[in-house]
Amino acid sequence: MIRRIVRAIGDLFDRDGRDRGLDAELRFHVDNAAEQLRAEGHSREDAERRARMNTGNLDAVKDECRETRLSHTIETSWLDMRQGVRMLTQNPGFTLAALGTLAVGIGATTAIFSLVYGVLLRPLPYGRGDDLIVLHQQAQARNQRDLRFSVKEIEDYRGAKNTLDAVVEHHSMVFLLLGDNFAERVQTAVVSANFFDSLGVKPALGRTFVESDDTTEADGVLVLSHKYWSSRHGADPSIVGRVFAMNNRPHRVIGVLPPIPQYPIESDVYMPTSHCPTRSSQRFQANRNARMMTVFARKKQNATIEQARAELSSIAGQLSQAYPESYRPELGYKIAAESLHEELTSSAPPALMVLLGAAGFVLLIACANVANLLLAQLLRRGRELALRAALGASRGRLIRQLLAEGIVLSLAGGLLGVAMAPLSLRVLQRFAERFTPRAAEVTVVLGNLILRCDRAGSTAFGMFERAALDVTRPTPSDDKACCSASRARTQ
Amino acid sequence: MGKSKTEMLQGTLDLLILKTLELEPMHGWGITLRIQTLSENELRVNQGSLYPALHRLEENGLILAKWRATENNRQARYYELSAKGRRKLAAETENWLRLSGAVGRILGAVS
Repeated sequence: MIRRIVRAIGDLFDRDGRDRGLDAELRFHVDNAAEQLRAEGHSREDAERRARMNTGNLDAVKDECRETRLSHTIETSWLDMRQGVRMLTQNPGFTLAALGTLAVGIGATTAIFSLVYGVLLRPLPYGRGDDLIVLHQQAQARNQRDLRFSVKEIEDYRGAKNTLDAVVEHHSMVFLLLGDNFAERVQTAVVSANFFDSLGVKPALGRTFVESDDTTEADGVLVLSHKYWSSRHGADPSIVGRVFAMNNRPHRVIGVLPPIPQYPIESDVYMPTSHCPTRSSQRFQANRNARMMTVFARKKQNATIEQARAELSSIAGQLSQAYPESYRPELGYKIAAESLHEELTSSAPPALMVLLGAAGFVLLIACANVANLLLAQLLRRGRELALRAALGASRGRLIRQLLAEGIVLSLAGGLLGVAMAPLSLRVLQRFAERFTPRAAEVTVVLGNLILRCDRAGSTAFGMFERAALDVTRPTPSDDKACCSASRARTQ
Repeated sequence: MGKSKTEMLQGTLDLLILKTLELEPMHGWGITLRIQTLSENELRVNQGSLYPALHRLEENGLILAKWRATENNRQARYYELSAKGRRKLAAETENWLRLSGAVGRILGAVS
């Protein structure tokens, strides 16, 4: 294939050389044929005449040889495209209408599909994101479905070792961060030492927390979010090692996170649990009812979520028995586990699906409109096509040319549509933020773009194939139209 | 003259060209003669289909073309089998023999 392309490029640059070669090759053949005829006893002139006659139309043979070449396909396609562009610029009204319709249709579906893809289909940006689950305590009698956890409870649920690899916690506080010459309030996520490892997040700079950071005696350490690092510290690569004061003690920066969306809340800095004044107090830790933390878990790869739920429920049962005053039977205490992906998007699907459906119809209507425009346009061009056919263009050639026009139109429409997509996507994103934190990740992705181009292309093909087949088929009615048109002109 | 005495099946010409080139590189005229001789004048190759076929085979990488001098010291375009062409020839030959054998058995069957 590569060789073929290289040769096609060579041919394109040296068309004369290619044709001279073909001439020489065929002349060689004819000369040999003539020689043979002479040997059979024909006169020289007679032999040459017969040899040429036997060869048939040399130009037709040459054409046929040329047509086998890739370069020939490229050349004619290029001609067709140019012809297509010329046709479109000659009918600016038609072109603008068609392009506008296509752009709106394609732009809308692109934007909505990007949203659906980003929110529902794309894997979480974490290592083995499918194994991440979120735990909730529930008091069903009070209709409370997402109660948080106390320190005691987290310790208890860490006992689910058969199905869970890790159970990590997260809570968020606002602290005052003091630098050499500034002080600011920062949203601080307080997390388990193995929080990032369990989520499969690798630091962009430095390191994340290790077990030894998470003791009250250890030095204070901070991990910065990518956003905070770049917006407040100018993405300073020497940030690791810098010391800030927080809660009356020094905190050293040990790492920076990659630019990932943060769940469950966007934070500026992260610290280990034992350095949060509230979380590390003896009283708080001893209080089974001080429920402040969100809990994530990573399930074992070979365990199903149902198995994890069963193991967690059995622990919940033991807790209800052991501490009836914390889990009063009439409240209907339960533990729930949901995959993180599900959790983040569960409220989004119906609204998004309705939108996707609507956008699909918009595209459909746009296509139908453009198809109508094209048909009208083609009928007007009946005479042009008849003339081309009369001059020797084969039906295949005519259809190819019409297809090329369709491709030019659709590609231009597709490009316009994709250019429009980011505009509408921003509006949609704001809308989707109400349902899901994943909205922030949504972008018009490249794969999606390709899909879009593909769709633009197939839209064109579908429409034109149909139209081209109709118009280039010689039918009595076509002839009549032609005749009457020419009569109209002579009158 | 000029028309083949026996109508050739579509695709047969490609196979015959490949077979002819199996032994040594040859130019178009040589291929014409060789096919004519080997078929004992039963098949005549029309150059109107020979050259397009040669160019198509070349484009598909089954044969390679080179300009070389003939024994009479004229420049001619010689074609030779590529490795891919050799594989294709082996596969197609087997196909052809199986098919023609089957057709022959049917036509030769006594009803």
